[in-house]
Amino acid sequence: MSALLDPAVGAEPGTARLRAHGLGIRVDERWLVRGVDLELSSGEVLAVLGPNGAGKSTLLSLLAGDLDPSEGEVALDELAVRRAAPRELARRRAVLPQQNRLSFPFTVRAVAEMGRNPWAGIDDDQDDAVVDEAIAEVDLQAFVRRVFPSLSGGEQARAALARVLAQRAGVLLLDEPTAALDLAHQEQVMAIARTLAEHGAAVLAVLHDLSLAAAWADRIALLSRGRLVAVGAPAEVLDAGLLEDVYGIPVDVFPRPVTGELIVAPRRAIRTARTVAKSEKGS
Amino acid sequence: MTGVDGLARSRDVAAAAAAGASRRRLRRDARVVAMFAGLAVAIVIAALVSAAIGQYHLPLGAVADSVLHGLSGPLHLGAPIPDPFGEATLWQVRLPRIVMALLVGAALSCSGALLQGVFGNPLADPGVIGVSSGAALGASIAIVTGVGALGSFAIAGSAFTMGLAATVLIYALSRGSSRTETVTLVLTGIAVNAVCGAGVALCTYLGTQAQLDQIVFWQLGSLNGSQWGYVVTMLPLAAVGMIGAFALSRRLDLLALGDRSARHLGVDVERLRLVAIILAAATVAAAVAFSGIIAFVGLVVPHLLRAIVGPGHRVLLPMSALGGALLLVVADTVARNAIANVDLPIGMLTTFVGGPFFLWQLRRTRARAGGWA
Repeated sequence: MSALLDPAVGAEPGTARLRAHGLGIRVDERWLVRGVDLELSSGEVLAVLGPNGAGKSTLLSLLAGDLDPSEGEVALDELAVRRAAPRELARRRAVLPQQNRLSFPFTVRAVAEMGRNPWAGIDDDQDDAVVDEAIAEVDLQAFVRRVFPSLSGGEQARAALARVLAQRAGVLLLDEPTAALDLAHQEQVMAIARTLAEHGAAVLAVLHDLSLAAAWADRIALLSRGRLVAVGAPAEVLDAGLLEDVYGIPVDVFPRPVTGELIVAPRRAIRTARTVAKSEKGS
Repeated sequence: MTGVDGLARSRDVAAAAAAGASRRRLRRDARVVAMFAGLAVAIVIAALVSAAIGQYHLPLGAVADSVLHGLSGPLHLGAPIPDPFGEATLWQVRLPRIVMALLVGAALSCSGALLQGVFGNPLADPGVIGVSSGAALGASIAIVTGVGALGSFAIAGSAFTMGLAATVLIYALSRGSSRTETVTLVLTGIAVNAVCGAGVALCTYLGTQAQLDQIVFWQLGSLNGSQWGYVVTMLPLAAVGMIGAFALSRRLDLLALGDRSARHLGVDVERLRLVAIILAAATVAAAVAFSGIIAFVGLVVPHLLRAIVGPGHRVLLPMSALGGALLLVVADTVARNAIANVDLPIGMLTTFVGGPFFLWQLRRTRARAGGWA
């Protein structure tokens, strides 16, 4: 992963790279996101959690500079994201969107090469090595000549991730990077995020799987109805009472044997009753 | 792929992949170079054959000699055709027409590929999105109001302005909050085409018989009567349009990811679209101003070539320019010679071929994507 990491990524661990202050956006008198203060630092994986419609993707769009906030602002290092040149931003932060569309049948390799665009004219001879490594990192070496539309959803998601990795930015904003992936590839993607963070990247990932977030994230930001209700270490945020409030369903939070990382599972009343009845009948 | 072992493994794999990739790239580059060379040779042959055949037949060898003589200038290679009438036919009638066919074909096809990239839609072309009919309306207005009598620059200027206006109008109308919807794009194009068509009809109604003839000629599309003056007028516009398009090619590739991702990769999307649209309108308007509406060239050629060389614009745009030039010089030769003593409208010919191709493309897209949206 060497070529993917230096030199663009290397910021001192703990340096705040992306800062949102009093961030909010209103559409038709409805606040989709409001009052968000959030810092993303190099060396950490921050998971953004919350129910459907809580404003996770909207928050990510605001942080990426796609949307104009109605109030507050976002700064990437010293740049104001709504005013900075796209190329300047692209050299520092990469964004993996939730949907990966492609109008023309480019090959997987061509898609990954697109990640090099912000660096056009700088170290062009490195491009091939960086792209190859990004493709290897997501396990798509066998697919480099395949065209993107012919891939499965999971393969497309990994190709898109290869493009993001090839961009070699120090700040990564990933919108549901694991949504289309099977168990093994979910773990692989989170391990990549983890490794990048250990090498100084600042990674923000919108996730749905609370246990996955608990296992891989340094911090969790919990969104509910556009507001940040908790930010902190998994053990602080993943509180059964808080999660029940936010998701509207009772959950159990328990430590995994041996490793101790938290597992979150909904309490399933009907299923439990059936299991109990069955075990009573058996006895 | 966690931990140090995983990283080491991925590095080895990456090194192996890099070696394979560079070998593959060499092979692909060789194929692309061969295609460029093949197209260039085909264009030269087609142009010479086209110059030789016609109502007044000229020997191919004599044509080649005379062209070489004309191009070599002070080097005095080759020789003019001994028969002065043949020499005049070649240089005053056929060659300007052939050069115009090459320029118009290259301009239409290249800007078709450019517009498809800009709209992220393989079905966009200068005709479908109205720039041709807008330019024709501009030219018609220039003819009817008498502005066209001031010279070919007045017509080209009017065609240029209206072609640009039609494209921008369609662009503005078909854009949603973040992306251009295919259905909206096509329907908006139909609507704007219809309005421009009505405008042209009004011009024919208001015009004199001579003006009416001129307008009707336009809509059929023809390279008949091309002069070197046309070439001189058209060349700078087409050259600027095409060279400008080539310069945008890397960023055009990124538009395939959608506006948002393209912006995340450092592309100033709004500016890119605006520049690309101005360039496309410039080349198409220049082409249409002198040749009339020659439909489907901008659609068919990029499509065929995309299937062969892939969608990367760095290759696709110049290849489309060459392919369009070849197609139009061949089509014009057919238009001149298919029926003795008749000069068929070339726009009619290309539409006869392009229309069925478009239908086939429509069906294929529908079968693949399950619909137009």
